[in-house]
Amino acid sequence: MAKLSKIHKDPFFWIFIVFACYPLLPYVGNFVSLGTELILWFIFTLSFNLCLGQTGLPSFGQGAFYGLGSYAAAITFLRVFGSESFILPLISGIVVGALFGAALGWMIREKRGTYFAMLTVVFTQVCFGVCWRWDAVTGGEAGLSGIRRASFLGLDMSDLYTYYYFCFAVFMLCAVLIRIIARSCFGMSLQAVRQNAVRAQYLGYNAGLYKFAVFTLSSAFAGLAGAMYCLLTQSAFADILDWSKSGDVVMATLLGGGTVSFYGPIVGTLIFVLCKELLSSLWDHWAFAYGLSFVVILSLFPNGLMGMLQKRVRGGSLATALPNGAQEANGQERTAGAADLKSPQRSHSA
Amino acid sequence: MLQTKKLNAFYGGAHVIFDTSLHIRQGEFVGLFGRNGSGKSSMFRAFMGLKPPLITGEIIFKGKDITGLPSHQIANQGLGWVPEERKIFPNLSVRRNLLLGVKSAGKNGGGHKRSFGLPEAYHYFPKLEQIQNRLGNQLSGGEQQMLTIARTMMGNPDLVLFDEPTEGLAPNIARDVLNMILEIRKDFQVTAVVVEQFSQHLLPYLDRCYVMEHGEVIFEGCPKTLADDEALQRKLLGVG
Repeated sequence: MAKLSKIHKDPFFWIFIVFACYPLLPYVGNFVSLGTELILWFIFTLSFNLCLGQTGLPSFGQGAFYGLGSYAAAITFLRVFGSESFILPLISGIVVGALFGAALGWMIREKRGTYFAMLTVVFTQVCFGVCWRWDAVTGGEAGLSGIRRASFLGLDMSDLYTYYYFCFAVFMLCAVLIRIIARSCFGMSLQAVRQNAVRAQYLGYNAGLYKFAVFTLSSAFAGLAGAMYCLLTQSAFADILDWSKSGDVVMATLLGGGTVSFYGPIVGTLIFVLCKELLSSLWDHWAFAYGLSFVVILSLFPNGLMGMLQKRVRGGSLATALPNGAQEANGQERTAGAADLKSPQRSHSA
Repeated sequence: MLQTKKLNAFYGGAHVIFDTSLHIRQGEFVGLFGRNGSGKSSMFRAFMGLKPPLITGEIIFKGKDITGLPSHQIANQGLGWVPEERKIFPNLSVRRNLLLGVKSAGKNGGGHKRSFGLPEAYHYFPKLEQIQNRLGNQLSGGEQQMLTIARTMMGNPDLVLFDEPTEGLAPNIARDVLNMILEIRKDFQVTAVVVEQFSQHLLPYLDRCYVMEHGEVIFEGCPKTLADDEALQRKLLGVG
Protein backbone atom coordinates (compact mmCIF):
# COMPACT_ATOMS: atom_id res chain seq x y z
CA MET A 1 0.00 0.00 0.00
CA ALA A 2 2.80 2.34 0.95
CA LYS A 3 4.44 1.64 -2.40
CA LEU A 4 1.19 2.45 -4.22
CA SER A 5 0.80 5.76 -2.42
CA LYS A 6 4.41 6.56 -3.34
CA ILE A 7 3.77 5.78 -7.00
CA HIS A 8 0.80 8.12 -7.28
CA LYS A 9 2.90 10.97 -5.89
CA ASP A 10 5.39 10.55 -8.72
CA PRO A 11 4.63 13.00 -11.59
CA PHE A 12 5.85 10.31 -13.94
CA PHE A 13 2.81 8.22 -13.05
CA TRP A 14 0.44 11.04 -14.02
CA ILE A 15 2.29 11.70 -17.27
CA PHE A 16 1.89 8.01 -18.04
CA ILE A 17 -1.86 8.07 -17.26
CA VAL A 18 -2.56 11.26 -19.21
CA PHE A 19 -0.70 10.22 -22.35
CA ALA A 20 -1.89 6.63 -22.22
CA CYS A 21 -5.42 8.07 -22.37
CA TYR A 22 -4.59 10.97 -24.70
CA PRO A 23 -6.71 9.76 -27.67
CA LEU A 24 -9.68 9.60 -25.29
CA LEU A 25 -9.27 13.15 -24.01
CA PRO A 26 -11.94 15.67 -25.03
CA TYR A 27 -10.99 18.03 -27.91
CA VAL A 28 -7.19 17.47 -28.04
CA GLY A 29 -7.77 13.73 -28.27
CA ASN A 30 -9.02 14.24 -31.80
CA PHE A 31 -5.58 15.45 -32.84
CA VAL A 32 -3.53 12.28 -32.56
CA SER A 33 -0.74 13.75 -34.68
CA LEU A 34 -0.50 16.62 -32.24
CA GLY A 35 -0.22 14.16 -29.36
CA THR A 36 2.53 12.28 -31.22
CA GLU A 37 4.41 15.48 -31.95
CA LEU A 38 4.09 16.47 -28.29
CA ILE A 39 5.58 13.17 -27.20
CA LEU A 40 8.48 13.56 -29.65
CA TRP A 41 9.08 17.05 -28.30
CA PHE A 42 9.21 15.56 -24.81
CA ILE A 43 12.02 13.22 -25.86
CA PHE A 44 13.75 16.12 -27.58
CA THR A 45 13.59 18.52 -24.63
CA LEU A 46 14.44 15.84 -22.07
CA SER A 47 17.52 15.01 -24.11
CA PHE A 48 18.43 18.68 -24.28
CA ASN A 49 18.02 18.97 -20.53
CA LEU A 50 20.76 16.37 -20.02
CA CYS A 51 23.03 19.10 -21.41
CA LEU A 52 21.51 22.22 -19.86
CA GLY A 53 19.85 21.17 -16.62
CA GLN A 54 22.15 18.34 -15.69
CA THR A 55 25.54 19.53 -16.92
CA GLY A 56 25.07 23.25 -17.46
CA LEU A 57 26.00 23.13 -21.14
CA PRO A 58 24.19 25.97 -22.93
CA SER A 59 23.74 24.09 -26.19
CA PHE A 60 21.85 26.09 -28.78
CA GLY A 61 22.39 23.42 -31.39
CA GLN A 62 20.13 20.62 -30.29
CA GLY A 63 17.87 21.21 -33.29
CA ALA A 64 20.74 20.15 -35.56
CA PHE A 65 20.73 16.62 -34.13
CA TYR A 66 16.95 16.45 -34.34
CA GLY A 67 17.13 17.50 -37.99
CA LEU A 68 20.06 15.22 -38.81
CA GLY A 69 18.18 12.32 -37.22
CA SER A 70 15.20 13.16 -39.39
CA TYR A 71 17.30 13.24 -42.58
CA ALA A 72 19.13 10.07 -41.59
CA ALA A 73 15.82 8.24 -41.22
CA ALA A 74 14.53 9.59 -44.53
CA ILE A 75 17.69 8.74 -46.47
CA THR A 76 17.86 5.29 -44.89
CA PHE A 77 14.27 4.65 -45.86
CA LEU A 78 14.45 6.04 -49.37
CA ARG A 79 17.95 5.21 -50.51
CA VAL A 80 19.66 2.61 -48.37
CA PHE A 81 17.49 -0.16 -47.00
CA GLY A 82 14.43 0.09 -49.16
CA SER A 83 10.90 0.91 -48.24
CA GLU A 84 9.96 -2.03 -46.05
CA SER A 85 12.05 -1.14 -43.07
CA PHE A 86 10.57 0.58 -40.03
CA ILE A 87 13.18 0.12 -37.34
CA LEU A 88 16.35 0.75 -39.40
CA PRO A 89 15.51 4.41 -40.09
CA LEU A 90 15.09 4.91 -36.35
CA ILE A 91 18.42 3.25 -35.62
CA SER A 92 20.13 5.35 -38.27
CA GLY A 93 18.63 8.47 -36.66
CA ILE A 94 20.17 7.50 -33.32
CA VAL A 95 23.54 6.62 -34.86
CA VAL A 96 23.79 9.77 -36.99
CA GLY A 97 22.70 11.98 -34.07
CA ALA A 98 25.27 10.33 -31.81
CA LEU A 99 28.09 10.53 -34.40
CA PHE A 100 27.58 14.21 -35.16
CA GLY A 101 27.09 14.91 -31.46
CA ALA A 102 30.31 13.09 -30.65
CA ALA A 103 32.25 14.98 -33.33
CA LEU A 104 30.99 18.38 -32.19
CA GLY A 105 31.15 17.44 -28.51
CA TRP A 106 34.80 16.42 -28.80
CA MET A 107 35.72 19.70 -30.48
CA ILE A 108 33.98 21.95 -27.98
CA ARG A 109 34.30 19.92 -24.78
CA GLU A 110 36.69 22.39 -23.19
CA LYS A 111 34.68 25.49 -24.16
CA ARG A 112 32.39 27.24 -21.73
CA GLY A 113 29.50 29.69 -21.61
CA THR A 114 29.07 31.99 -24.58
CA TYR A 115 31.80 30.30 -26.62
CA PHE A 116 30.13 26.93 -26.19
CA ALA A 117 26.70 28.37 -27.07
CA MET A 118 27.96 30.21 -30.16
CA LEU A 119 29.81 27.19 -31.52
CA THR A 120 26.65 25.09 -31.25
CA VAL A 121 24.66 27.80 -33.05
CA VAL A 122 27.26 27.91 -35.81
CA PHE A 123 27.14 24.12 -36.15
CA THR A 124 23.35 24.24 -36.49
CA GLN A 125 23.51 26.87 -39.19
CA VAL A 126 26.18 24.95 -41.09
CA CYS A 127 23.99 21.83 -41.02
CA PHE A 128 20.99 23.88 -42.07
CA GLY A 129 22.95 25.41 -44.97
CA VAL A 130 24.19 22.03 -46.17
CA CYS A 131 20.76 20.41 -46.01
CA TRP A 132 19.16 23.41 -47.69
CA ARG A 133 21.60 23.38 -50.60
CA TRP A 134 22.62 19.74 -51.12
CA ASP A 135 19.87 18.79 -53.55
CA ALA A 136 21.35 15.43 -54.53
CA VAL A 137 21.24 14.01 -51.02
CA THR A 138 18.80 16.03 -48.95
CA GLY A 139 16.50 17.21 -51.69
CA GLY A 140 17.44 20.83 -51.00
CA GLU A 141 14.53 23.19 -50.47
CA ALA A 142 12.04 20.53 -51.57
CA GLY A 143 13.24 18.16 -48.86
CA LEU A 144 12.60 14.44 -48.93
CA SER A 145 9.13 12.98 -49.08
CA GLY A 146 7.47 9.70 -49.97
CA ILE A 147 8.37 7.98 -46.74
CA ARG A 148 5.95 5.37 -45.47
CA ARG A 149 5.61 3.84 -42.07
CA ALA A 150 6.11 0.14 -42.70
CA SER A 151 4.69 -2.53 -40.40
CA PHE A 152 6.63 -3.41 -37.29
CA LEU A 153 6.19 -6.68 -35.35
CA GLY A 154 2.90 -7.18 -37.14
CA LEU A 155 1.60 -3.75 -36.13
CA ASP A 156 0.35 -1.45 -38.85
CA MET A 157 2.33 1.72 -38.20
CA SER A 158 0.56 3.60 -40.97
CA ASP A 159 -2.36 3.81 -38.54
CA LEU A 160 -1.94 7.06 -36.57
CA TYR A 161 -3.18 5.56 -33.30
CA THR A 162 -0.80 2.63 -33.53
CA TYR A 163 2.09 4.98 -34.28
CA TYR A 164 1.03 7.22 -31.39
CA TYR A 165 1.25 4.33 -28.96
CA PHE A 166 4.58 3.23 -30.41
CA CYS A 167 5.94 6.75 -29.85
CA PHE A 168 4.41 6.77 -26.38
CA ALA A 169 6.22 3.51 -25.51
CA VAL A 170 9.51 4.87 -26.86
CA PHE A 171 9.01 8.09 -24.89
CA MET A 172 8.41 6.21 -21.65
CA LEU A 173 11.54 4.15 -22.28
CA CYS A 174 13.63 7.24 -23.05
CA ALA A 175 12.25 9.14 -20.05
CA VAL A 176 13.03 6.24 -17.71
CA LEU A 177 16.54 5.95 -19.20
CA ILE A 178 17.18 9.68 -18.88
CA ARG A 179 15.89 9.64 -15.30
CA ILE A 180 18.17 6.71 -14.47
CA ILE A 181 21.11 8.56 -16.02
CA ALA A 182 20.25 11.73 -14.08
CA ARG A 183 20.09 9.84 -10.77
CA SER A 184 23.12 7.62 -11.36
CA CYS A 185 26.69 8.20 -10.24
CA PHE A 186 27.33 9.49 -13.75
CA GLY A 187 24.48 11.99 -13.31
CA MET A 188 25.87 13.08 -9.96
CA SER A 189 29.26 13.66 -11.59
CA LEU A 190 27.56 15.74 -14.28
CA GLN A 191 25.97 17.88 -11.60
CA ALA A 192 29.37 18.38 -10.03
CA VAL A 193 30.77 19.44 -13.41
CA ARG A 194 27.80 21.81 -13.82
CA GLN A 195 28.35 23.43 -10.45
CA ASN A 196 32.10 23.79 -10.73
CA ALA A 197 34.18 22.00 -13.33
CA VAL A 198 37.49 22.94 -11.68
CA ARG A 199 36.41 21.45 -8.34
CA ALA A 200 35.31 18.30 -10.11
CA GLN A 201 38.68 18.12 -11.86
CA TYR A 202 40.77 18.15 -8.72
CA LEU A 203 38.57 15.43 -7.27
CA GLY A 204 39.63 13.27 -10.21
CA TYR A 205 36.85 13.90 -12.75
CA ASN A 206 37.81 14.59 -16.34
CA ALA A 207 35.24 17.33 -16.90
CA GLY A 208 35.87 17.51 -20.65
CA LEU A 209 35.24 13.79 -21.05
CA TYR A 210 32.00 14.00 -19.06
CA LYS A 211 30.81 16.89 -21.22
CA PHE A 212 31.66 14.97 -24.36
CA ALA A 213 29.84 11.86 -23.12
CA VAL A 214 26.67 13.67 -22.14
CA PHE A 215 26.63 15.72 -25.33
CA THR A 216 26.89 12.54 -27.39
CA LEU A 217 24.18 10.82 -25.37
CA SER A 218 21.88 13.79 -25.63
CA SER A 219 22.44 14.01 -29.40
CA ALA A 220 21.56 10.32 -29.78
CA PHE A 221 18.20 10.88 -28.05
CA ALA A 222 17.58 13.99 -30.18
CA GLY A 223 18.44 11.98 -33.31
CA LEU A 224 15.90 9.34 -32.31
CA ALA A 225 13.21 11.99 -31.77
CA GLY A 226 14.04 13.49 -35.18
CA ALA A 227 13.83 10.10 -36.89
CA MET A 228 10.44 9.45 -35.32
CA TYR A 229 9.29 12.88 -36.40
CA CYS A 230 10.35 12.05 -39.95
CA LEU A 231 8.17 8.94 -39.84
CA LEU A 232 5.29 10.95 -38.38
CA THR A 233 5.34 13.61 -41.10
CA GLN A 234 6.61 11.09 -43.71
CA SER A 235 9.06 13.72 -44.93
CA ALA A 236 12.24 15.55 -43.97
CA PHE A 237 12.82 19.26 -44.48
CA ALA A 238 15.69 21.58 -43.68
CA ASP A 239 13.44 23.92 -41.66
CA ILE A 240 13.80 21.85 -38.52
CA LEU A 241 17.56 22.38 -38.58
CA ASP A 242 17.13 26.11 -38.35
CA TRP A 243 18.54 27.75 -35.22
CA SER A 244 15.02 28.83 -34.24
CA LYS A 245 14.13 25.19 -33.56
CA SER A 246 17.00 24.98 -31.10
CA GLY A 247 15.83 28.27 -29.60
CA ASP A 248 12.34 26.82 -29.09
CA VAL A 249 13.81 23.92 -27.13
CA VAL A 250 15.84 26.24 -24.93
CA MET A 251 12.78 28.43 -24.27
CA ALA A 252 10.50 25.48 -23.49
CA THR A 253 13.08 23.97 -21.13
CA LEU A 254 13.72 27.21 -19.27
CA LEU A 255 10.04 28.11 -19.11
CA GLY A 256 9.20 24.77 -17.56
CA GLY A 257 12.11 24.92 -15.15
CA GLY A 258 14.48 22.34 -16.55
CA THR A 259 17.35 23.66 -14.46
CA VAL A 260 15.60 22.69 -11.23
CA SER A 261 13.35 19.79 -12.13
CA PHE A 262 13.47 16.68 -14.27
CA TYR A 263 9.87 17.41 -15.30
CA GLY A 264 10.52 21.05 -16.20
CA PRO A 265 11.14 20.35 -19.92
CA ILE A 266 7.88 18.38 -20.12
CA VAL A 267 5.88 21.24 -18.58
CA GLY A 268 7.54 23.81 -20.84
CA THR A 269 7.03 21.68 -23.93
CA LEU A 270 3.37 21.17 -23.10
CA ILE A 271 2.84 24.92 -22.95
CA PHE A 272 4.92 25.64 -26.05
CA VAL A 273 3.43 23.00 -28.32
CA LEU A 274 -0.15 23.65 -27.22
CA CYS A 275 0.37 27.40 -27.79
CA LYS A 276 1.94 26.73 -31.19
CA GLU A 277 -0.67 24.28 -32.39
CA LEU A 278 -3.89 25.39 -30.70
CA LEU A 279 -3.50 29.06 -29.82
CA SER A 280 -2.07 29.80 -33.26
CA SER A 281 -5.32 28.65 -34.87
CA LEU A 282 -7.23 31.17 -32.77
CA TRP A 283 -4.87 34.12 -32.80
CA ASP A 284 -2.19 35.04 -35.35
CA HIS A 285 -0.03 36.76 -32.78
CA TRP A 286 0.25 33.81 -30.42
CA ALA A 287 4.06 34.04 -30.52
CA PHE A 288 3.84 37.52 -29.04
CA ALA A 289 1.80 36.24 -26.07
CA TYR A 290 4.12 33.25 -25.66
CA GLY A 291 7.24 35.41 -25.79
CA LEU A 292 5.78 37.93 -23.38
CA SER A 293 4.76 35.23 -20.91
CA PHE A 294 8.27 33.75 -21.20
CA VAL A 295 9.84 37.11 -20.30
CA VAL A 296 7.43 37.75 -17.44
CA ILE A 297 7.65 34.27 -15.93
CA LEU A 298 11.44 34.08 -16.10
CA SER A 299 11.80 37.61 -14.74
CA LEU A 300 9.68 36.72 -11.73
CA PHE A 301 10.79 33.11 -11.39
CA PRO A 302 14.26 32.54 -12.82
CA ASN A 303 13.90 28.82 -12.17
CA GLY A 304 10.80 28.55 -14.36
CA LEU A 305 7.38 27.15 -13.57
CA MET A 306 8.63 24.06 -11.75
CA GLY A 307 10.92 26.24 -9.66
CA MET A 308 7.93 28.39 -8.73
CA LEU A 309 5.87 25.33 -7.93
CA GLN A 310 8.58 23.75 -5.80
CA LYS A 311 9.04 26.99 -3.94
CA ARG A 312 5.33 27.22 -3.17
CA VAL A 313 4.95 23.58 -2.22
CA ARG A 314 7.99 23.39 0.01
CA GLY A 315 7.96 26.96 1.23
CA GLY A 316 11.73 27.01 0.91
CA SER A 317 14.09 29.23 -0.95
CA LEU A 318 14.63 28.86 -4.67
CA ALA A 319 18.13 27.72 -3.99
CA THR A 320 16.74 24.60 -2.37
CA ALA A 321 14.58 23.70 -5.33
CA LEU A 322 17.10 21.43 -6.88
CA PRO A 323 16.85 18.64 -9.36
CA ASN A 324 17.52 15.00 -9.18
CA GLY A 325 17.12 13.94 -5.67
CA ALA A 326 19.12 16.55 -3.85
CA GLN A 327 17.05 16.72 -0.72
CA GLU A 328 17.03 19.66 1.54
CA ALA A 329 16.27 20.27 5.13
CA ASN A 330 14.65 23.40 6.41
CA GLY A 331 16.11 23.06 9.87
CA GLN A 332 17.78 25.96 11.59
CA GLU A 333 21.38 26.33 10.68
CA ARG A 334 23.97 26.99 13.27
CA THR A 335 27.68 27.24 13.38
CA ALA A 336 29.38 23.94 13.89
CA GLY A 337 30.63 23.78 17.39
CA ALA A 338 33.15 21.73 19.19
CA ALA A 339 30.47 19.18 20.06
CA ASP A 340 29.90 18.56 16.35
CA LEU A 341 33.33 17.07 16.04
CA LYS A 342 34.40 13.93 17.71
CA SER A 343 36.25 14.89 20.85
CA PRO A 344 39.80 15.52 19.71
CA GLN A 345 41.29 15.27 23.19
CA ARG A 346 40.56 11.57 23.29
CA SER A 347 43.05 10.71 20.63
CA HIS A 348 45.77 13.14 21.59
CA SER A 349 45.79 12.60 25.28
CA ALA A 350 48.39 9.88 24.98
CA MET B 1 56.97 11.09 -2.19
CA LEU B 2 56.63 14.65 -3.51
CA GLN B 3 59.52 16.66 -4.76
CA THR B 4 59.88 19.93 -6.61
CA LYS B 5 62.98 20.88 -8.53
CA LYS B 6 63.62 24.52 -9.36
CA LEU B 7 59.92 25.29 -9.44
CA ASN B 8 58.98 28.71 -10.78
CA ALA B 9 55.42 30.01 -11.02
CA PHE B 10 53.98 32.98 -12.88
CA TYR B 11 50.64 34.80 -12.92
CA GLY B 12 50.90 36.58 -16.26
CA GLY B 13 54.01 38.73 -15.87
CA ALA B 14 54.17 38.33 -12.10
CA HIS B 15 56.82 35.88 -10.95
CA VAL B 16 55.53 34.42 -7.66
CA ILE B 17 57.68 31.36 -6.92
CA PHE B 18 61.44 31.39 -7.50
CA ASP B 19 63.52 28.23 -8.09
CA THR B 20 61.92 26.49 -5.13
CA SER B 21 62.85 22.94 -4.22
CA LEU B 22 60.84 21.00 -1.65
CA HIS B 23 60.99 17.38 -0.63
CA ILE B 24 58.18 15.59 1.21
CA ARG B 25 58.95 12.02 2.27
CA GLN B 26 56.42 9.26 2.70
CA GLY B 27 54.64 9.35 6.05
CA GLU B 28 55.83 12.84 6.91
CA PHE B 29 53.69 15.64 8.27
CA VAL B 30 55.11 18.88 6.95
CA GLY B 31 54.11 22.48 7.63
CA LEU B 32 54.46 25.22 5.06
CA PHE B 33 54.25 28.60 6.71
CA GLY B 34 54.48 32.11 5.44
CA ARG B 35 52.77 35.47 5.34
CA ASN B 36 50.08 36.41 2.86
CA GLY B 37 51.36 36.46 -0.71
CA SER B 38 54.43 34.39 0.05
CA GLY B 39 53.49 31.78 -2.57
CA LYS B 40 52.21 28.94 -0.37
CA SER B 41 48.83 28.50 -2.04
CA SER B 42 50.33 29.01 -5.51
CA MET B 43 52.64 26.12 -4.70
CA PHE B 44 49.61 23.90 -3.97
CA ARG B 45 47.85 25.03 -7.13
CA ALA B 46 50.97 24.11 -9.06
CA PHE B 47 51.07 20.68 -7.40
CA MET B 48 47.44 20.09 -8.40
CA GLY B 49 48.02 21.13 -12.01
CA LEU B 50 45.67 24.12 -11.77
CA LYS B 51 46.19 27.12 -14.02
CA PRO B 52 47.05 29.83 -13.25
CA PRO B 53 49.87 29.82 -12.31
CA LEU B 54 51.98 28.77 -15.25
CA ILE B 55 54.99 26.86 -14.03
CA THR B 56 58.48 25.84 -15.03
CA GLY B 57 60.66 23.28 -13.28
CA GLU B 58 59.73 19.79 -12.19
CA ILE B 59 57.18 18.28 -9.81
CA ILE B 60 57.82 14.62 -9.05
CA PHE B 61 55.13 12.61 -7.25
CA LYS B 62 55.73 8.97 -6.32
CA GLY B 63 58.65 8.91 -8.73
CA LYS B 64 56.66 10.21 -11.70
CA ASP B 65 56.96 13.61 -13.30
CA ILE B 66 53.50 15.19 -12.93
CA THR B 67 54.47 18.63 -14.24
CA GLY B 68 51.86 19.88 -16.68
CA LEU B 69 49.44 16.98 -16.18
CA PRO B 70 45.76 17.94 -15.93
CA SER B 71 44.48 18.04 -12.38
CA HIS B 72 42.14 15.05 -12.70
CA GLN B 73 45.11 12.85 -13.60
CA ILE B 74 47.11 14.19 -10.70
CA ALA B 75 44.19 13.57 -8.32
CA ASN B 76 43.81 10.04 -9.64
CA GLN B 77 47.47 9.38 -8.87
CA GLY B 78 46.76 9.94 -5.21
CA LEU B 79 47.27 13.62 -4.52
CA GLY B 80 44.41 15.09 -2.51
CA TRP B 81 43.76 18.76 -1.93
CA VAL B 82 41.73 20.50 0.74
CA PRO B 83 41.55 23.95 -0.80
CA GLU B 84 41.29 27.20 1.09
CA GLU B 85 37.85 28.78 1.37
CA ARG B 86 36.17 25.35 1.54
CA LYS B 87 35.22 24.80 -2.06
CA ILE B 88 32.29 22.43 -1.80
CA PHE B 89 29.46 21.86 -4.30
CA PRO B 90 26.85 24.26 -2.93
CA ASN B 91 23.80 22.74 -4.61
CA LEU B 92 24.51 19.13 -3.79
CA SER B 93 23.64 17.43 -0.53
CA VAL B 94 26.35 16.69 2.02
CA ARG B 95 26.10 12.97 1.22
CA ARG B 96 26.52 13.57 -2.51
CA ASN B 97 29.44 15.91 -1.88
CA LEU B 98 31.09 13.13 0.08
CA LEU B 99 30.37 10.46 -2.53
CA LEU B 100 31.95 12.63 -5.21
CA GLY B 101 35.22 12.26 -3.37
CA VAL B 102 35.28 8.52 -4.08
CA LYS B 103 36.25 8.98 -7.74
CA SER B 104 39.96 8.49 -7.26
CA ALA B 105 39.60 5.86 -4.55
CA GLY B 106 41.14 2.46 -5.05
CA LYS B 107 43.58 3.58 -7.72
CA ASN B 108 46.30 4.82 -5.53
CA GLY B 109 47.64 1.74 -3.84
CA GLY B 110 49.25 3.91 -1.23
CA GLY B 111 49.46 1.05 1.22
CA HIS B 112 46.86 2.46 3.60
CA LYS B 113 46.10 0.09 6.41
CA ARG B 114 42.49 1.27 6.43
CA SER B 115 40.26 2.73 3.80
CA PHE B 116 38.37 5.95 4.40
CA GLY B 117 34.74 5.61 3.31
CA LEU B 118 31.36 7.02 4.21
CA PRO B 119 31.23 5.28 7.64
CA GLU B 120 34.64 6.74 8.49
CA ALA B 121 33.54 10.19 7.32
CA TYR B 122 30.54 9.98 9.64
CA HIS B 123 32.67 8.54 12.44
CA TYR B 124 35.20 11.36 12.42
CA PHE B 125 32.62 14.04 11.67
CA PRO B 126 29.33 12.91 13.27
CA LYS B 127 27.77 16.24 12.42
CA LEU B 128 27.97 15.35 8.72
CA GLU B 129 25.75 12.34 9.25
CA GLN B 130 23.13 14.47 10.99
CA ILE B 131 23.06 16.93 8.09
CA GLN B 132 23.72 14.48 5.26
CA ASN B 133 20.64 15.57 3.28
CA ARG B 134 21.26 19.28 3.69
CA LEU B 135 22.60 21.20 0.72
CA GLY B 136 26.13 22.54 0.71
CA ASN B 137 24.96 26.14 0.61
CA GLN B 138 23.04 25.62 3.85
CA LEU B 139 26.13 24.75 5.87
CA SER B 140 28.11 26.92 8.25
CA GLY B 141 31.80 27.57 7.67
CA GLY B 142 32.83 24.88 10.15
CA GLU B 143 30.52 22.31 8.60
CA GLN B 144 31.81 23.15 5.15
CA GLN B 145 35.38 22.66 6.30
CA MET B 146 34.53 19.26 7.80
CA LEU B 147 32.86 18.34 4.54
CA THR B 148 35.85 19.43 2.47
CA ILE B 149 38.28 17.42 4.58
CA ALA B 150 36.06 14.32 4.63
CA ARG B 151 35.42 14.58 0.87
CA THR B 152 39.14 14.71 0.14
CA MET B 153 39.78 11.76 2.44
CA MET B 154 37.07 9.73 0.67
CA GLY B 155 39.50 9.48 -2.27
CA ASN B 156 42.04 7.77 0.03
CA PRO B 157 44.88 9.94 -1.22
CA ASP B 158 48.50 9.09 -0.55
CA LEU B 159 49.35 12.68 0.14
CA VAL B 160 46.96 15.40 1.29
CA LEU B 161 47.56 19.09 0.84
CA PHE B 162 45.68 21.14 3.44
CA ASP B 163 45.49 24.76 2.36
CA GLU B 164 44.80 26.99 5.36
CA PRO B 165 42.23 24.60 6.85
CA THR B 166 41.41 26.94 9.73
CA GLU B 167 41.03 30.14 7.73
CA GLY B 168 37.93 32.10 8.73
CA LEU B 169 36.89 29.73 11.50
CA ALA B 170 36.20 30.63 15.13
CA PRO B 171 39.27 29.78 17.30
CA ASN B 172 37.65 26.83 19.08
CA ILE B 173 36.41 25.33 15.82
CA ALA B 174 39.75 25.96 14.15
CA ARG B 175 41.49 24.08 16.93
CA ASP B 176 39.06 21.19 16.65
CA VAL B 177 39.49 21.00 12.88
CA LEU B 178 43.27 20.87 13.29
CA ASN B 179 42.93 18.14 15.91
CA MET B 180 40.71 16.15 13.62
CA ILE B 181 43.27 16.45 10.82
CA LEU B 182 45.92 15.15 13.21
CA GLU B 183 43.74 12.26 14.27
CA ILE B 184 42.83 11.22 10.73
CA ARG B 185 46.46 11.53 9.65
CA LYS B 186 47.58 9.29 12.48
CA ASP B 187 44.84 6.71 11.99
CA PHE B 188 45.25 6.47 8.22
CA GLN B 189 49.00 7.09 8.05
CA VAL B 190 48.59 9.71 5.36
CA THR B 191 51.46 11.89 4.28
CA ALA B 192 50.32 15.49 4.64
CA VAL B 193 51.40 19.06 4.03
CA VAL B 194 49.60 21.85 5.83
CA VAL B 195 49.77 25.44 4.72
CA GLU B 196 49.09 28.01 7.41
CA GLN B 197 50.28 31.51 8.03
CA PHE B 198 51.53 30.12 11.33
CA SER B 199 50.18 27.66 13.90
CA GLN B 200 51.77 27.12 17.30
CA HIS B 201 49.24 24.38 17.87
CA LEU B 202 50.50 22.33 14.94
CA LEU B 203 54.23 22.62 15.57
CA PRO B 204 54.60 19.74 18.05
CA TYR B 205 53.04 17.33 15.56
CA LEU B 206 55.06 18.29 12.50
CA ASP B 207 58.05 16.33 11.29
CA ARG B 208 59.52 19.25 9.40
CA CYS B 209 58.52 22.71 8.35
CA TYR B 210 59.28 25.22 5.66
CA VAL B 211 58.83 28.97 5.79
CA MET B 212 58.31 30.91 2.58
CA GLU B 213 58.62 34.57 1.83
CA HIS B 214 58.28 36.38 -1.50
CA GLY B 215 58.14 33.08 -3.35
CA GLU B 216 61.30 31.61 -1.83
CA VAL B 217 61.94 29.12 0.96
CA ILE B 218 63.73 31.04 3.69
CA PHE B 219 63.69 28.35 6.35
CA GLU B 220 63.66 24.59 6.32
CA GLY B 221 64.10 22.53 9.40
CA CYS B 222 62.90 21.16 12.65
CA PRO B 223 59.63 22.62 13.94
CA LYS B 224 61.04 22.56 17.47
CA THR B 225 63.68 25.09 16.45
CA LEU B 226 60.91 27.39 15.27
CA ALA B 227 58.67 26.66 18.28
CA ASP B 228 61.39 27.43 20.82
CA ASP B 229 62.80 30.52 19.21
CA GLU B 230 60.43 33.47 19.40
CA ALA B 231 63.00 35.77 17.86
CA LEU B 232 63.17 33.48 14.84
CA GLN B 233 59.37 33.40 14.63
CA ARG B 234 59.32 37.19 14.71
CA LYS B 235 61.99 37.42 12.07
CA LEU B 236 60.53 34.86 9.68
CA LEU B 237 56.81 35.20 10.24
CA GLY B 238 56.27 38.44 12.11
CA VAL B 239 54.73 36.63 15.08
CA GLY B 240 55.79 35.63 18.56
